[in-house]
Amino acid sequence: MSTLRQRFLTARYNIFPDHVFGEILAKRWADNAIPFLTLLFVGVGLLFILPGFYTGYNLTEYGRQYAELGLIVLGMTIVMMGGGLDLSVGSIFAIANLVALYCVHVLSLDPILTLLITMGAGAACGAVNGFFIGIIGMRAFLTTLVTLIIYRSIVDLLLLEYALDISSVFPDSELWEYIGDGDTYGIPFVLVATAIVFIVGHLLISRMKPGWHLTAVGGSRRSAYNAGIKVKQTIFFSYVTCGILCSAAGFMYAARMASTGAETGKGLELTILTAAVLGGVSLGGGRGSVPKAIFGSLIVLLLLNGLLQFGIQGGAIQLIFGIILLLTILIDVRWVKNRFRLLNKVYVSPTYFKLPAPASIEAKSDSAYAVNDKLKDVSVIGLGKVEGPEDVILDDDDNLYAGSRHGDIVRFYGKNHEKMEVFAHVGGHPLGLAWDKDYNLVACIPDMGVISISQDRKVSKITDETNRSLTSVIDDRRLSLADDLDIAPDGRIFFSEATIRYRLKDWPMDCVESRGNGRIICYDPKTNKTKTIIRNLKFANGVCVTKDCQSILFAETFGMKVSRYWFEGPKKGTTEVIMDNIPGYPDNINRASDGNYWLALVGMRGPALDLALTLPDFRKRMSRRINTSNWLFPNINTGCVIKITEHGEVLESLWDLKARNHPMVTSMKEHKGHLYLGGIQNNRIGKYKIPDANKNWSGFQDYWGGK
Amino acid sequence: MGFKIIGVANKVLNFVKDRIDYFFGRGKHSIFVPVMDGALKPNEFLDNVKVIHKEEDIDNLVINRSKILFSGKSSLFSMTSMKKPKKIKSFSGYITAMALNSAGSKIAVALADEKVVILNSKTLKEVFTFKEKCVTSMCFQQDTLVYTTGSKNFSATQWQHDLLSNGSSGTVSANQLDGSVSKVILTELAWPTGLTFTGDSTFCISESWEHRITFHQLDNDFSVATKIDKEINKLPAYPGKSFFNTKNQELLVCFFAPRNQLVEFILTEEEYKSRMMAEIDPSLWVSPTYRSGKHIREPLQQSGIKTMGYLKPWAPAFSYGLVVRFDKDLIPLASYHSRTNGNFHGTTSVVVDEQQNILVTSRGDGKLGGWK
Repeated sequence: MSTLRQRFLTARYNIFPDHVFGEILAKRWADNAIPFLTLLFVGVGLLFILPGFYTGYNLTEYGRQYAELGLIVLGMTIVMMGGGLDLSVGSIFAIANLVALYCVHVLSLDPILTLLITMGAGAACGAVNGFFIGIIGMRAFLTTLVTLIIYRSIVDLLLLEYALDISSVFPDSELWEYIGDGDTYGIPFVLVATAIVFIVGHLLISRMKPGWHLTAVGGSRRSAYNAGIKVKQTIFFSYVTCGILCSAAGFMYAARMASTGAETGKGLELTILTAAVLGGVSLGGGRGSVPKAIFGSLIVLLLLNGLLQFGIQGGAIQLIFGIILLLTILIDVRWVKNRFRLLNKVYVSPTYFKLPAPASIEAKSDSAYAVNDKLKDVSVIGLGKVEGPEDVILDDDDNLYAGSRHGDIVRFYGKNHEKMEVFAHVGGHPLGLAWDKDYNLVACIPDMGVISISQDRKVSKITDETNRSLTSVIDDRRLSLADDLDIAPDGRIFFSEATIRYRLKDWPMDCVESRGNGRIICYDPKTNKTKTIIRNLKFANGVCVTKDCQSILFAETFGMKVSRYWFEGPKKGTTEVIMDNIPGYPDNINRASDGNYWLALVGMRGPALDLALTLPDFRKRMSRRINTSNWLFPNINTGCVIKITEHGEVLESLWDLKARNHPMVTSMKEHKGHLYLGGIQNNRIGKYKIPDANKNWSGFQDYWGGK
Repeated sequence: MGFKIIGVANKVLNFVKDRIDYFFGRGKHSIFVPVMDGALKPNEFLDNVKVIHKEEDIDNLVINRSKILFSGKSSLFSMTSMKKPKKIKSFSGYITAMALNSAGSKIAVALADEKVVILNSKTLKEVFTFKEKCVTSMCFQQDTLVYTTGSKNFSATQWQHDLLSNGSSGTVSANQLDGSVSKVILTELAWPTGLTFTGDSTFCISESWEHRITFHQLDNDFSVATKIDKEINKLPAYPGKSFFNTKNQELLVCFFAPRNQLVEFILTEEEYKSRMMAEIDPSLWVSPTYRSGKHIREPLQQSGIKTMGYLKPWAPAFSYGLVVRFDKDLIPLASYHSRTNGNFHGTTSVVVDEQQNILVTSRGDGKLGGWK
């Protein structure tokens, strides 16, 4: 292949940020993109079509309208997030208007008291809806359609009685007038009030319990119920909140217009529903936010006034809004249905990665990797009892510890480790394990970070976040796949995060991508700070502090290399590749008793995948076209253990070729003349007797000396 | 002129449609693999059958009354009913196909070194030889040998090459065994094999890369065959050699390898495919095979990862064992499987003996299995 072609592939797939598209799509706020663009389109469009549209007086007027509209849309949003619908918003609005006018004009009450009474009326109306829909379990559509008519009739009846009384009095209240058309620093007072409601609402919905409960109920009623959320109450209160917000809007309207017209709030439900759906609030429930309500209501406000200024009549506006609503719902339905399909298709973004052919592993060759059957007589510990012991570790009393995919750290004890107990329940699948100098067991746990378990089995968090990098779309502050760790004499914990783009169960997918999403991170107990040291590693995996205690060795599984990083001494801060183009996928690294290091190869490279790594477009199509279970993957069914020097020279390899006893090796720890083998997809731990090994050597002694 | 414009427009439209199909993976770019369902519902039957004999690269079971012959690499074996077989002759090349005539007096053996040898079945002496490349199956019809050749470009052992080259250069031919040249009856077939006569002049062939079994009517002087309206297609595996059981009028078909979505995808990926074929050893290709998982550097698919020491039987596979029984109208009646984690892969040939025992060779695992 020509170098020009290589350069093109590198530019297209390694430099061009392909992965960002999928990452943005994976964000929750990606939902807001379409409403936001629509708003921009409408807003800028009006600027050009109607030159006088954004002049001073108009803006104030829009602000006042928006204050009312926004509140009602927020109410509707809350109801829709809970999986409901409120068609009676217009009627509640009209009732509130009437109540407020009656209180101020006829009873001459204080505006504050009036507001409370009005909101009380709105709450009562909402409570009726909430009672029938939430508590009794009636259909939202029919119930609110009926209450829409009932509330409207009440308004009509009351208007007959009180319209004259109201319009014959002119209230004498400065506050009332101020609410109607006062400004705060040039901004309409009502708009300021609404903005405050929005901020509080946003905090409640996105950051606090009521909002989370509401989203959960709307997303899946049954799951929410099973999770212990009070579904009926949540729905009930969503309608009450909506009623209160509508009545607050009605109160503002009353102060602004003092109108007793029978048309008040008629047909409002269509406008409000259009606004909510345009903003991206899902009719199916579970999806909505304050920004969505803001976008939606802004679009509708601009459209409404734009159409009015064009001289389009009321009936036609309703027609246009109806059509817009229909189209938006159509888009919404397709989006909700296809978003994750689209995400699945675009998320994997492969890069160009070319390696020369690796060293031979054939049995007849004189390669240090030549296959053999040394591991065939491995004795097996905990067969069928432990699942997924990615790493193992032993204490000086010969107890054997391992992680399991059930979220436990298990301990084997007794003479041949025939007995097993759960040492501690940690809640995640523990990967790398290490002792600190106080005999605490420190573990890397995906989605949780680094935790410590004391000898009296207390589990405590060490760190779960690092510094945020500026250019990453994914929030890389959180540790997502902490993999292996080791501890320096001064207590600093060096650990690897394999990838920030994939979860543990999808870890081989990172190979299909080969982008370099991993990193090495350091936690310093002295400052209690966590800092990323090295980025863009192709699946950072095993970490081991070298014997001179000045550097770490770390493996990049899908980069097929091992590097050395100095954190002390003359070479401090530098990284050097010590092994490259390994014929397998390197995993954990640990010290051996003879001063060298054990390195696990979790699987062996195959030429078919190596070739695919040089064809990113091929892999991209593969990820788009075929089911994940059929993807070409790294062959991690057979691996081996090799012994290396700190300069990366391979001394020997240990294989279980038939993979009968120990199918996969992700980790190994030497202890008193034996090598203990772990494997992330295994249901056993292997024990191999190392010929001529130091029978007194143990990991803890080697790191920390005497107990 | 007008026609020309329409013609050009048509071409452009077809090209655009082709590109759209390519993007969405539809039409001829579809990589859909039919599921095994109904009568083809997977079981583990073949893993548990009685193993009569073990022989590397066992293949080409043929039968005449109580006499059963099969091949192993370049050797010919003989066996009577379910008893221990013995080696009777060795050849210069791999045996790719075999046939016995109805009287049991002649054995036809096709060899990978491009020749077909006719033996006297008593003396095992060569009585006639003619040259032919890539013979995939043979059948005596009276004194004429009717046979299929898989490909013009590859030998019979290079079937993976032909598949990945989207080959369709196979033929059905007939040789009178009197020194005259073979007559070509059908051409441009996608790896035909499994030639079996189901009546005096009706025969079926498995068109492997088309995933179908078709029936043809042969005329009296072995020169023209007409396709008849009996066919089964969209098969989930590549059909191979077959056997027609005259007693109950059933057709038994061996499927030598499964279809795989990744392979179907790679068949549409010209660059990857051609570079793989040029640069990589065939045993490490992404391709169906008689037996996968032999070498640790072989490609693997995601579901093929062993979990808790266990390979999932439903994982997508590059090798499989499958024998299907069809009735005379090609309705599948029953199927016998060896799934991804099974031990009876690469089922290449099948016969039914006089006691109605079914015998099957597993070329991938080198086994001869049988059951009643």
